[in-house]
Parts: sequence; C-alpha cells; structure tokens
Amino acid sequence: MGSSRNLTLYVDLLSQPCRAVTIFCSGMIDDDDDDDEDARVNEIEADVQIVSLWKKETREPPFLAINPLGQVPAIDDGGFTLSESHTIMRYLAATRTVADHWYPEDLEKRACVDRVLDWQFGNLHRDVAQFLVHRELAPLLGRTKNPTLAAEAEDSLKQSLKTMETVWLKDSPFLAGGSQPSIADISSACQLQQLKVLDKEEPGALLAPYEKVKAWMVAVEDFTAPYFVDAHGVLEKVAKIFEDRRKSEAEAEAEVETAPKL
Amino acid sequence: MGSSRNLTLYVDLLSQPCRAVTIFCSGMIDDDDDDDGHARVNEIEADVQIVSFLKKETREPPFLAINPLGQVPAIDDGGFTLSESHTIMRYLAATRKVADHWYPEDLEKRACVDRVLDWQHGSIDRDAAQFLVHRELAPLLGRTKNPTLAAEAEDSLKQSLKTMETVWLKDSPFLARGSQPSIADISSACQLQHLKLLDKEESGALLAPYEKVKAWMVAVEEFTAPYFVEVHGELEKLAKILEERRKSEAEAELETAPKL
Repeated sequence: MGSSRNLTLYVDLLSQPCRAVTIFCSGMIDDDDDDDEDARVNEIEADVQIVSLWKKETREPPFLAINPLGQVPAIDDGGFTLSESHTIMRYLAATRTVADHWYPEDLEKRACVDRVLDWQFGNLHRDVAQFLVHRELAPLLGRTKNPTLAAEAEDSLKQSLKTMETVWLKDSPFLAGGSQPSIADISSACQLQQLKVLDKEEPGALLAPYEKVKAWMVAVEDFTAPYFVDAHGVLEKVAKIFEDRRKSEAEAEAEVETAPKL
Repeated sequence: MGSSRNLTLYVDLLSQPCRAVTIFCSGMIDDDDDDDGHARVNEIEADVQIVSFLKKETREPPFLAINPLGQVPAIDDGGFTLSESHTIMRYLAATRKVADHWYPEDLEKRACVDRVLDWQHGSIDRDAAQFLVHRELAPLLGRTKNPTLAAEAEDSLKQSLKTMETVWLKDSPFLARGSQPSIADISSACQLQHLKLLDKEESGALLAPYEKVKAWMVAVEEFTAPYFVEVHGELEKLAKILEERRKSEAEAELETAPKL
C-alpha cells in the first residue's frame, strides 16, 4: 500500500539502529556538506535529516518535539511521529510499497521475524555495545574500560553467535526462515558490522568460528548493495579517528619514556 | 480471526514475560497439584504447561524441542512453535478473536504499541532485572551482588519511570495512547510488579514520586482482574520468603552485635 505523505527520517549514522532504518529505506547519504538528503524509501521519497548525537542535537528542542525521548532514529510521517528502529521498519513496511519478505503478511512468517527482532534486544544489542565500550570506546565516551565487563560481553556474544549459527541459520540463509532477508536481518547485520569495523585488536575475530554467520553477513550486504556499505561509511571514519588517537597516545607514551630523567 | 488449533503455553510464573502472556490469555492457573491448567485464551482454549526455570526444566530435551533457546514463555500452536513474549502476544492477537485495543489494526495505533514494547527491552526490562539481581536475587542464582551495578540500574530505572510518567502517560491513561490497555501495558505492568521482590519500603519509595505510573498500575490490574492478581500468586509467595529471610538476617545481626 503506497502513501503520498511527507516522510522525514531523523538519523545519526553513528548509531546502529539509524543505519538499519536508513538501509531499509534504501537510502543513500551524500558526502556533501549539505546534510539534508532525499532517500529512496523503497520507491517512496523521504527527507533525511542528520541529527548529531556528538553535538547533542538529539537533546535540543527542535528534535525533542519529534521525539521527547531524545533518541534517533525517529520519523515524522505527515505529522505522525515515531521512534524505535524495529517499530519504524514495521510501520514503513506496512504503510509503504515494500517487498513482502521484509515483513511478511503471513502471520507465522511475520511472527518468525518478530521473534528474531525481539531476541536481538537481550543479545546482540546489549552485548555488542558492552563489548565495544569496554574493549575500545570507553575513553572516547569519557568512561573507563572495564575488562571484566568486556569479558562477560564477549562470552555472551559467543552464545548469541552460536544461537545464530545453530538455530536461526540452521536450515535457512536468513534469520527468520525466509529465502530472502527480513528487517531482522538488516538490524542484526548492522549490529555485527560494528565488530568488524571497531574492534581493532582483532577485527572480526569473534565472528571467525561461525561459517553460517559469516556467509549470512555477506548475503545481507550483497542483497542491500550498495546501501549497506554506504551507510557504514561513517563508521569507517570513526574507526580511523580511533586508530589515529591510539597512534598519538602511543607516541606520547614513547616520548615520556625517552624523556631525559633528572 | 478465530482459530481452532491446539494451543499450548509453556510458562514459569516466576518470570515476568510468562506472567504477561498468561494474563493476556486471560488465563487461570489451577491450584491443584496438577500443574496443567486450562487457560481461557480470550475465549479460545489453551493448555498451560508449567516448565520450571529453577529446576532447570527449561534446559531439558522435551522443552528444547519446543524452544531450542531454552527460554520461557513459548507456545506450540498446532505444531508452530514460537518464543519471545511480545512476539507471542502479537501473534495471538492477530490469530485469535481478541478485542482490538490489545494490538490495534490501525497502523498508527499499532505502531504506538510496538514503540512502547520495543522501548521496554532497553529500559525497564533490563533495569528492573539488573536492580533485582544485584539488590536481592543474586544468591538465589548462584551469583554475587554488585552494589555498583545495583546503583546504576536504580538510576536507570528512575529515568524509565520518569519517561513513563512524563511521556507515555502524559495525556493518556495507558502507555500507547489508547483509552484501553494494550499488550504493552500488560508487559510493562508485569515488569514493575516484579519489584515486589524488594523490601516493601524500598519498592514503595522507588515508585512514590510517580503518581501517573501508580494510577496506571491500578488501572491495568483492574482491567485484567482477577487474572493479574492470580497470575502473580507465585511471585507473592517468593516475595514473602524473601521478606522472612531479610527479617531473620536482621535479627541475626542484632543477636551477634557486641553487647556492652
């Protein structure tokens, strides 16, 4: 069912759920200084507004009028506002013309997609964040790395990857049992892509033992090409910033060690 | 749309999501020694199978055949198996005859319900669980209390309660803007009811500032009466046991305190 409403997407591509929604909308973000874009929303136009987490724009009145919780992603669909990436994708799948496999009409198939979306919250969503914060990102966020929490998250992640390998992907190339991806695949793939890009100690090492998971990630990226890679462009930039920062910290430490001691 | 399939619910009523699904199914659990009761699933019969998490029945082969993830709640609907409480309630709302307000057909209203359900995972679900584990339940689960994690969870929980008070319930008696409850209300109410495992004064103090939240909990309980109270019977029993344990620990401390 099509809709001719004016749709605006509010996103910060540093945020995983924002990337998922943007990819689902088959969106492309320009590298122009002009942050405001049109995105192809499965053949429906949408304006894309970048709202910066880093600059705390999500906590400012213009955006708070869209989402009082101050979180991205959010949408304004002709005056109807919404947040939560899974909810946004369900709503857009239902109100726009999208291929059925994204969020099937068949109630059993749909329930299989919902199940993976819900499972994700207590697994990938929580564990990837905790792992990356306490392994890599804490200093950038004004926090302290906690190796115990990193280790716990790593164990939990391994459990989740095992579930994907042996349950969701057991008999199926995609997570919800379909022969084509659903919104659960986009969401989960965005979660795991963070491991490849941001874990510089061992990029993608956690994923190494899981053949089906690795094949699935390639399949999701291929299916949504070129948008998957495009949406993760900003993540690559962030990874570069971390890398440069690590280098300068290492250089600073080396200087201190070689400084003359009196 | 009705369905004449055989529906089985697998639940442990100590689990918040199990209670939510059971209440949604307007279920009544028998007090017989026979654990398997019939539940009225909004006018459709369902068998209720109790699967005990503490006795590790959720990790045993018969149940793993229903849900390989070894988690309750789960359903078997004429051979179609499913887990995740929100998913189960969405599926049952769509396949059974239930009143529209539980999970509306209207796409905007439905999105409002989905939004609260999703928000819940990253807020009260996580915070209430973390708070309860590190304040009370850790010993029961073979873990160690971590006061720092308890304090963090308490702060986060207060934020979530504030969101409920000032956003979800701002202009509406229920969480998803309807004048009647949705599955998001049952789910969230069961999460907050779990805080009864805390010391009474503490749980009272936690909720005290939030007038709308307190009124909303009463409204949800009344709307789903008598099932809400009945389904929380197991939780009440555990709460009493924990209360007695707290009392005897306090008394033991007094007895061993040095007397001068």
